[in-house]
Amino acid sequence: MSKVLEVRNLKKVYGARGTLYPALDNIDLDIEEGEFVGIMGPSGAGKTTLLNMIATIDRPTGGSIRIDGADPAKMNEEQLASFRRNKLGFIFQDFNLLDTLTIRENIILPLALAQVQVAEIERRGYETALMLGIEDILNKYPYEVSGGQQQRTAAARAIIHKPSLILADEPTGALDSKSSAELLQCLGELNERNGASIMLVTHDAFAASYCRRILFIKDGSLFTELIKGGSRKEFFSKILDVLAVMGGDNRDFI
Amino acid sequence: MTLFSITARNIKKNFQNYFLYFFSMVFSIVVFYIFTSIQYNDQVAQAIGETTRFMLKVGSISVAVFSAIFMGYSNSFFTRKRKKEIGLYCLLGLQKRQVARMLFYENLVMGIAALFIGIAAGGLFSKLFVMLFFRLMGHFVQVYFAISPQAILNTIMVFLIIFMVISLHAYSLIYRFKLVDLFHAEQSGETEPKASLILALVSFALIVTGYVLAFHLTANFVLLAPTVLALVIIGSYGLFHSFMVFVIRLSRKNTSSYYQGMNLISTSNLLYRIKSNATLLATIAILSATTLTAMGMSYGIYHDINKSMNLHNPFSFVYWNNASRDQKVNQALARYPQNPLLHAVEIGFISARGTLPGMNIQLALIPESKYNEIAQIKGWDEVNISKPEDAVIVHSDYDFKGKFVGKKVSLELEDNTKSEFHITARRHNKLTNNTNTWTALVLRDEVYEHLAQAQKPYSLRALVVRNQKNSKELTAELGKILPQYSWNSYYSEYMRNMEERGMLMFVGGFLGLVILLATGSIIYFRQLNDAQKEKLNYQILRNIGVSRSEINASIRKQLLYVFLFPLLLGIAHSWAALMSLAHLMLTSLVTSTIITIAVYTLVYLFYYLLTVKSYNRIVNPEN
Repeated sequence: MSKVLEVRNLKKVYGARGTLYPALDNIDLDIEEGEFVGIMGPSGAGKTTLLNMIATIDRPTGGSIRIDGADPAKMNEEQLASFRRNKLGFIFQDFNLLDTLTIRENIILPLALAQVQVAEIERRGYETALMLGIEDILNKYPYEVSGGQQQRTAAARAIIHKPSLILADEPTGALDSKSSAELLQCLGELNERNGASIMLVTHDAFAASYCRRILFIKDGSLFTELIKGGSRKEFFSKILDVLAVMGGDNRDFI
Repeated sequence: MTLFSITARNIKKNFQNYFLYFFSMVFSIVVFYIFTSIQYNDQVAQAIGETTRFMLKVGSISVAVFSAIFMGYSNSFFTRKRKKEIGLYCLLGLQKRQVARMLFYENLVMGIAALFIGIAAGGLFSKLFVMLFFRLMGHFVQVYFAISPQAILNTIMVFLIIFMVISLHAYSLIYRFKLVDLFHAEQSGETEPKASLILALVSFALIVTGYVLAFHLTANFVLLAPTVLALVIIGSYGLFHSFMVFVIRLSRKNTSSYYQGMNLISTSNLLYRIKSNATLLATIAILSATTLTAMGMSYGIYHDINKSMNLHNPFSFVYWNNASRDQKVNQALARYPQNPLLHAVEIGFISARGTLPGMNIQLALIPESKYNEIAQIKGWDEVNISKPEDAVIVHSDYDFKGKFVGKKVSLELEDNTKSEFHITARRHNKLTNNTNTWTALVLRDEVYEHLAQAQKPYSLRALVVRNQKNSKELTAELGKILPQYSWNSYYSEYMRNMEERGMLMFVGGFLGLVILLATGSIIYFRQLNDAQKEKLNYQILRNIGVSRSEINASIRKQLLYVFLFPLLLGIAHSWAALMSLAHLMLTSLVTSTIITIAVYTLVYLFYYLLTVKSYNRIVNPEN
């Protein structure tokens, strides 16, 4: 198995002159192809900073990131945009669907941008929608469907172009518990059946319990790692234990 | 901290937000001040006649009305932007009354500041415009810098009233909305634009019918003109509300191009943009059409002056002559070597009552040899009448249209003797100057001589001098020699025409420019407003890997259509209007129309580029 993500000695420092604030310090992280990895940590631990740098939206102060063997730090803006378009898939907390496009159009957007042939676009659009159970609402607009359906649309958009790595940033943050469970179920199936590599950033222990491996970050450094052994329930209680040890803002996790 | 000091801080800290609104206020004031300062300028007052004065007044009222609409519009954008801020004040515990008073003060403070700046800037520019005004009217006057208290007072009064209304509107804002609405002002849900095919076709048909009718206006102008206007205006709104939406929706069906690259984004955004801006865009199309027509026509009329003067006033001077007048006139001519006499011709003619098919008019009968003498001087085609019973009729289309060639004309002299002639040809000229409007009938010399024995001919003397456009002194001198109404001159006709046409050109051009700048600014405001709303969408696109240059290209494309559609429709409307007017006015407006459209398009292009730039700065910022 090859590595889709290889992070070495990653450093990020915010601020200028005198008041430097280190957000990330010496992070090492690997994700193998077909892994489903969770990143957890309390607010302010540096989860989002890490995600932004892997998403190539932000640039690191030190260290290196390699995605699918390529180094985004060496790319210019045009190259970065096309890199994000081809290699990465994004799922955001607030869905980030375009409300002027139908569900179908939102899903196929990455393929359209990549100038794929129309017949191919339509075929893959339908297949992906089928996989996520949203094939009945393809002609509706985002504001006409539920939050869970919107997030599944976003997930479809993130996977349709078969990216090397799917980045999910608190994807269940704006969903009710039923929709959350459905979405996570979908992500789990994507990972198991299609071998999609997923990195899920969350502070919700329930969401994290769907992952197969979890990295905990605290104050900008790696705190510990958990690997799923038994059932999801057991894994869930283990996660809670780690969070208790980590301390911080516990109320978030209950 | 008093309410007033919060207000002052608001303006100081949020200058960026306020700037556009403030700028449109200053602009309106500058324009109005310039216009009124021309109206009250002493030098202008001395130079112009009653008609011109009236037109200036009409012009300044139009400017005031337009300013009020323009400012109201920019104010509504401005307040929409700030609803959230107002909601926040309420949430923080300010009473509604206090917030309302704060908004009222704010508007008033800005209004007064705009008045100061506007009048000062207007004062600086007013001299330039007074000069332009004189130049267009053909006067070469040394213009003095003048500040007119009357104009200042007028401007202050008019704009204080406008500010009061706008401030009251802002004042009432808070009472009209619930707190919740104020917070959600910027995120009203988009609905899918729908359009009916029937409505689309009907609106298209309405415009075409309007155009066709416009070219048959001569038939019944009073009834048809308003019908044409109504058809075209209703059609234009329909066009934007359904036809455009329909066409764009259709293009979405064509997935082979729609699903390629940024087309997906550009086309679907454009659909929403056209739909939500339909009324505005149609209004702008109609305003553009009106402006282009007004500018094209006033420029055309101004441009036409030499052609029309030469047709209507072929001679520098024409007077009822006798031996003593001729002598005095010749002496006067000798005293003005800058206007040497080029040609002099004595035109004798017999006045007769003429009956043409469907018409009964006074005719001037002249002999063939006299007409050919005049024709030689003026470079017209000569006539050749072969038979004694034949005649050639001479009149311009401005006098009356009519096809009398091949028809009979019967003449009746003062002694009631009658005779009949056969009209064999027509010449499109005027025999003498405009004030002696005669339709002439050219007869064979011996026929004329025969008639002249029965009735004594009248005699006019017509002169052509060099530099007739600069014959002010000579014209004045002749005015002293010749009794009033016994003569006329090219020069005084020319000056009267220059004043009227120059005035028309000035008012038409000025108003056109103002409307052009205002409509350009309104599209600009509106698009920036949309840009704020779409910021997040473009952020999403950048995150999923759309490059900045692709977004830039998509914005350029979307805005191009937003600017192009109303402009094209406006050009089409004005073209139809000007061509049908030219048809009515018997002149060609093609050159002036093309020049006007070119200038208009150029200014529009500038607004387009400006909007693209600002739009990009909002939704596509540099890292």
